[in-house]
Amino acid sequence: MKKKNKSFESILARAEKLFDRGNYLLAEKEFEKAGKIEKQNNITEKLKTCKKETEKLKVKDLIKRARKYNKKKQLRNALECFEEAYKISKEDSFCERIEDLNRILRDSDIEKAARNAEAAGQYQKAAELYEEAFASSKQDAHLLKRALCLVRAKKYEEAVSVFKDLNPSDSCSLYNYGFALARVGQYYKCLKVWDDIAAQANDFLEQKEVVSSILADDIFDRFNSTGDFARLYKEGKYLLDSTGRQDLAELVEYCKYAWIKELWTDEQYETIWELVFDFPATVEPAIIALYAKTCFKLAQKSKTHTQAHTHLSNLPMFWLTAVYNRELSEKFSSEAKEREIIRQNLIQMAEALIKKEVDSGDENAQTALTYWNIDNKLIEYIHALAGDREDTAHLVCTPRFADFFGKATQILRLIKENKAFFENTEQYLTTGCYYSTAGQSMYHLEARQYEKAFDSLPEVIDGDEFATYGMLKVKFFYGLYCLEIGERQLRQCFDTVPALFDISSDYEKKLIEKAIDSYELDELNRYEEVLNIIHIKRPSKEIKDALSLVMSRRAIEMYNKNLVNDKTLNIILQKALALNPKNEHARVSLDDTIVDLEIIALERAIGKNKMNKACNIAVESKSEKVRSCFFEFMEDIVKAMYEMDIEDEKKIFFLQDTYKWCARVNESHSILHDINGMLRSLEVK
Amino acid sequence: MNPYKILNIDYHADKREIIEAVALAMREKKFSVQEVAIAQKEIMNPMTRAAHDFLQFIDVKPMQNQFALIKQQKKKIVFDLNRLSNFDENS
Repeated sequence: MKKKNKSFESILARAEKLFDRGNYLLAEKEFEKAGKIEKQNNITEKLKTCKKETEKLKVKDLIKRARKYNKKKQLRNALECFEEAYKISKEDSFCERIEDLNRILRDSDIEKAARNAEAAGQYQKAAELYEEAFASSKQDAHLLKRALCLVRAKKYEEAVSVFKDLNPSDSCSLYNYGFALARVGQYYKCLKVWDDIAAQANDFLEQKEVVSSILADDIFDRFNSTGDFARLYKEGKYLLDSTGRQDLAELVEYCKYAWIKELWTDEQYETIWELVFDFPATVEPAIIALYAKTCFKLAQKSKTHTQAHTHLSNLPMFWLTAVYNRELSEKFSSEAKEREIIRQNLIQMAEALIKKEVDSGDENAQTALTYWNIDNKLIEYIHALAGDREDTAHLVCTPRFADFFGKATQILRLIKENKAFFENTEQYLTTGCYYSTAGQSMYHLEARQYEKAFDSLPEVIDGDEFATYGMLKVKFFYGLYCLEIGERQLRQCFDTVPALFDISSDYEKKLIEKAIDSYELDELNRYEEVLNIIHIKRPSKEIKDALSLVMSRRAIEMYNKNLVNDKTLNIILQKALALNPKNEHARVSLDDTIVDLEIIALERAIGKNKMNKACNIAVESKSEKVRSCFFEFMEDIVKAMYEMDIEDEKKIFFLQDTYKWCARVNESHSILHDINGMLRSLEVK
Repeated sequence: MNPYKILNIDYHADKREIIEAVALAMREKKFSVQEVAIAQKEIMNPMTRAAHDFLQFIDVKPMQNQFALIKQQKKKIVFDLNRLSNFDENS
């Protein structure tokens, strides 16, 4: 009995020890042994705990193993571990892992089967298996494989429908997609897809060439049977551009205009402009009309100032050229008078469109209006010159149109041949200038964009009278602009100006007016420099007079600011008077200056007690002011001397001398009477 | 303003058709009475109508007539494209 108790207690003690150490597996065995000897509630409880803890450890170990298998891609072993762990723990999280692994293994099986089928040449079956794999995996790679198998299985329609949603980028997929497209008759799309393949192997290029030819044939076929001109144009243009097949050129152009007609009805003016923007070398009246109307509609439809500006700037050259075009305007009416009324109606319509944009506050529209006004005037002249003549009617166009379409030389010849038509030389030169190489510069000038005008002057003028006139005029106005803003590039602007003054004296008058209106020293400096430049080259009376005035005005300004002394002022004023003896400003100023200079000399002479010299200055001066100064000095001296505490004899002697000096200057001056009075009073003493 | 659009008439519309179109436009009230009236005035006046004819319609025939009408003379190429294996992944 004693032995039994001892055995039970030692087993239980060992079990408890193991339990406390966390060794539940061995503790469980010991508790079981103890339980067999003697049933106790606490042993049953401990056994339960041990079992529970042991299971936990088992599950932990299984998960660890499963992860290891997963890493080694031994998914089946991993699955077994998870399944066993789930059996023990019944935890839901294991279900998801088990499902995932089952799906992956199933997919892997399907993919393997698909690959096997593909390798065995069973492409249809492989495609189906890849589809099944995709249904589970949702991976595009499976769809791509499916599409490739469909191509190999010659199921092209299906292949195309799979490829089109995939946007493949690798060469293999692109080639097969294109191939499938070609096989279902979508040659254009095929070529577009193949264009993304970088590889340029010969057999591929040959195949591309074959498809291009088939597309060309197809386009010809469809041209004769259908009316989808937009598509025909796009596909034909693509072939024309990519292969240079000239047999398509006319068809493409034909389809372009057929499509334009449809686009016009649908008011798709932007697309029309894109289609016709590539200006041809020569233009037929009908196409000029198309440009003009499209420009008008686009300007009318523009939603932003920027859009409007683009179209408004093009409007004058096309619109005016179109409405003055002989062939086009003959369709207005058979009567010349009516034609002119309709033309003016059309001109007013366009002008109103530009003015509306100007009124809306678009600054660029103001430039467009300026250009419009120039072009409107010029085309009137050219129309009057050439419009009624069979051989020259085609030359009636605006300068920018002439420049675009190579008509400028002929127009310039026409202007030269008809110099007598113009009211004066300047009108003749101005008209020609706009059509010359200096034309663009003149447009900028008229829009008061002086810097642009100067910068866009042609580098070579080569004796052309129109371009020369433009250059002279632009330089002149750019020069005036420089004068205003204080830029100092005056020589390069004004050294050519005399030639412009020879054409029209109005420019000389304009410059002189501006010079005469200047009063600030900086301004006067610049105008004097400019007038000097011109005076050296072309010393006209007007320039001399203006230079004289500006010189005297500037000298006075400088003197007033203590920048020059009397002597320099005197010299400048004398120079100004030499240029224009009638310059009253200079004369009066010079007189004043002389008086100032005499007074200074007078003060200096008296200061040094050189009374004879002082007397001479006062006698010789033309100014009473100098003499008054002399007598003021004398009065002060006499008074001071009389009141001085010196001997009377000395006073008398000095007063007698003073009397003589004063009498030399003015023998009836009142100071003489005062001196006499002083002398008498001294003598009485 | 496009009087042809306001009155829903074509290039060849005669006086009777214009008057009918004006009445219809007034009834439909898609455009204001003033717009319809101006459109009628513009289209009834031969001078302003000619200006609108110029602006609102295009004639592409002169451009198309430049091209001798295309007739395909070429023999069609037999369609016998074979798939190239150059691009296959394992090739």
